[in-house]
Amino acid sequence: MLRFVTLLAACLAVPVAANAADAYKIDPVHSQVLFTTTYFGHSHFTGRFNGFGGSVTEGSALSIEIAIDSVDTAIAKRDGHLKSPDFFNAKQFPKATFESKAWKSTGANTWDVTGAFTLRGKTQQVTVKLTKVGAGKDPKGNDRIGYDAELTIDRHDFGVDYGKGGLGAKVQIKVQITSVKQG
Amino acid sequence: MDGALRFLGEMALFAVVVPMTVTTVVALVGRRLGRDTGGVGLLLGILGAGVGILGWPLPPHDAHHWVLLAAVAAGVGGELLRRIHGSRPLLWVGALGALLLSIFAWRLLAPLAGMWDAGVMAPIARTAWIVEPLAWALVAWLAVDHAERHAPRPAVLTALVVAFTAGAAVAAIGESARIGQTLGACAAACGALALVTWRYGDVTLGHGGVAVACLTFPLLVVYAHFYAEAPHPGAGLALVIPITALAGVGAASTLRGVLRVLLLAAIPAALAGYLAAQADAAKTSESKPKSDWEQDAADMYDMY
Repeated sequence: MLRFVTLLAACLAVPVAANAADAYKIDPVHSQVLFTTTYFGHSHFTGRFNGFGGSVTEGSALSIEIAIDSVDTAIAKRDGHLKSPDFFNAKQFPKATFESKAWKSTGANTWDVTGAFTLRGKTQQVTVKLTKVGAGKDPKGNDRIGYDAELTIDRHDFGVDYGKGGLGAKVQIKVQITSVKQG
Repeated sequence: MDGALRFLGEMALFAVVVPMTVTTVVALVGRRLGRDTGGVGLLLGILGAGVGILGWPLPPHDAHHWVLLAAVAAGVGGELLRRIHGSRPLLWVGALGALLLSIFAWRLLAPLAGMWDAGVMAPIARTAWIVEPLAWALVAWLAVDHAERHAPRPAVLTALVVAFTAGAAVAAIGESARIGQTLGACAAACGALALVTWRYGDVTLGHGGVAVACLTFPLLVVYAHFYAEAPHPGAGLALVIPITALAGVGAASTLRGVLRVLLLAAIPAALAGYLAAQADAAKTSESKPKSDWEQDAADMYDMY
């Protein structure tokens, strides 16, 4: 009897590990979407999108939707210019999206996630480098998993053509994801 | 090539060099071959610059591609009208103008229909902002068409140069340097043709050229307002400039006609720029920076 109680106590004491195959929703409060490019080739410039959402099911699905109108570079005038037809044309193309199609494991906690990235109404197949940062519970007891997703695009492929020679063609997009288990 | 040099070089190439060169060469080569190709020159000058700035328009992807397609439709439609009705009767010009303006304004603004359904813009304001420019554009079209046949052509083209330049300033005060650049390219093409018509009196703008200019101008201003926050008092007033400018042209001598156009157009053009700048300043003050360094950063941003 004592052995049974001891075994039961031991089982209860072990924290239930987050099951990565479950569906997790991206928590926009603790996640970030950042983009970086070069300015006249002599320095780097980084901005962010404040409005986004999505979900992750490790090994099978990654979906992200970004509200273009939420672009934020700390200068209101520049944000307006980025939203204009010179760059993102936010009124005609209000969203950017990524939908995964294939996950390929490249290490213990790393994947190459291939999928369709749509920006400014144009869709290209891209590969996102995904790294699992960690998993665990938050103070409310929710299961969370964190990932870093990195992707480099050529902005001209998506019709973001303004400022050739001034702003770099290659744009690094980094999504720091905190996701919460659903259900 | 150095990045800064390339950036500025491309801007000057498509805003000034291409439209002026193409328009001049086509008009002069046509004249040498015994044909009046002033209108064709204007169309190709605007198209050459437009494709360089706004991208290849086929198939139309961005709403602004419809402006380039509208220019082609206007040029071809105007030329056909001239061939069918050599006298260009007012009714036919008005009908062609109303038809093309309605079709292309609808194509230009169609992508925003979803936002309007969501109540982003008040129904009265958006209806006014569609109907008013079209009405002004139609009146301007008829005025330019009439003046092109009765007044010195350099004066008529000068009116268009001032209108496009004021429109460029209003668009650039908004949030799109690229639309401003396109309007500037149209001004450059009109300016080049003005010089050619001044030197060679037998080169004309023709009905095709009138149609191209009178359709391109309001569509670009409307586009700048709806898609790039060009302030509405300035943008609205910019649409009136061609009419105001042509009001006093009459059948004066070329030099006097040009000077009168410049004088008459300067007032609404300056007012349009002032109102746009005021509206922009008011909008900027809503997001007023909290500290000196934030103000410095905001002041330093100049679209590149």
